[in-house]
Amino acid sequence: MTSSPPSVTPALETTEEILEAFLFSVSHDLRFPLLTLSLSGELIRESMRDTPEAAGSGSTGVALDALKQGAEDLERMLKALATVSRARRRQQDVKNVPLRMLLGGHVVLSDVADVDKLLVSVDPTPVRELIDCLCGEDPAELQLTLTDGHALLRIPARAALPELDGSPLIELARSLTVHAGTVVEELASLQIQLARHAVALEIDQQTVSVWLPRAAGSAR
Amino acid sequence: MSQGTVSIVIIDDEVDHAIIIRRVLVDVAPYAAVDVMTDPRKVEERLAEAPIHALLLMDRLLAGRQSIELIPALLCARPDLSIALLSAALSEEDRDRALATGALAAVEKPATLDGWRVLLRDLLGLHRARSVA
Repeated sequence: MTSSPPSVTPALETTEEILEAFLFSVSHDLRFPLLTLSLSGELIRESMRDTPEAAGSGSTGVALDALKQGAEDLERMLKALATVSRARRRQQDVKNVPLRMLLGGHVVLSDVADVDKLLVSVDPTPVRELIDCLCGEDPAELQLTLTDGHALLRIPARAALPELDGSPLIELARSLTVHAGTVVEELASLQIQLARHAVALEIDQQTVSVWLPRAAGSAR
Repeated sequence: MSQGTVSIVIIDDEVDHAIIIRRVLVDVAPYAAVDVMTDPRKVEERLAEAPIHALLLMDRLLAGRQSIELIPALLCARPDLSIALLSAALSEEDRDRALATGALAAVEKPATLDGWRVLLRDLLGLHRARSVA
């Protein structure tokens, strides 16, 4: 036995890794009994097919419907946890890219000169996914302004966002029941990926603001 | 390989899951010979004796151990086997790792019986194609 006690507080990185492993374990370990319940319920229903008790308002039918609904709700929430876990693990590919390249066919409204020469330092994939998630495939009008060190992009959501202000990740954490499986889950996943390379994201009603770090030496 | 000769081995220490998969296989592949292993301690030993060209449906976690690590040795000893890795939750990294080690497929366990029927038909199709090739 060593004379010194083990560290009471593990290093931050270790704690993060443990939390990440815990998050993944929760989403995995809770799903297997859930699968047992939902699949068993389906097997019971199939074995009782064509019997009046399993149909409509019979008590067995009601119980099986409730079991199915409960299992589907749990499945939806566990998938949200798995989505968050995967977002934290996803490989990043941060590089200097022309902002224009990220925006595809969308229209940029801006007073900034030489938008075409503006470079940002990001992983392009989650930025594009965010724009696609909010705007869909049709061209949208995005507002661009420059701040110290950032290109601030304001993206209007084409589909109505639920009433929320601020961080989609915090909203998801506040209520998995309400937000799991919705656009808030998707935005929370993207927020995690973007935050890993210092891209801030904030929702203000129906507009999402994204602060993209400008590449060193990029056009001002 | 004809339909009548397909052998399937289910390896899952979650006994309930193993039973449900076997039940679904009765619908999907009534012609198949299905064996079930729920004791993870003797997996390597017993799989050495698996029928030739068998399709293994293996859970990703066996008694807390990552079964992905078993795949290279299993396929080295028995290259005729096809291994499909199944998991209640599967990360992209684990899926890629399993495929890189030679797994036929690596997929999340479906939440519905119809999902299982589709998955098992797909896996049997992949297995058949690989065995013919």
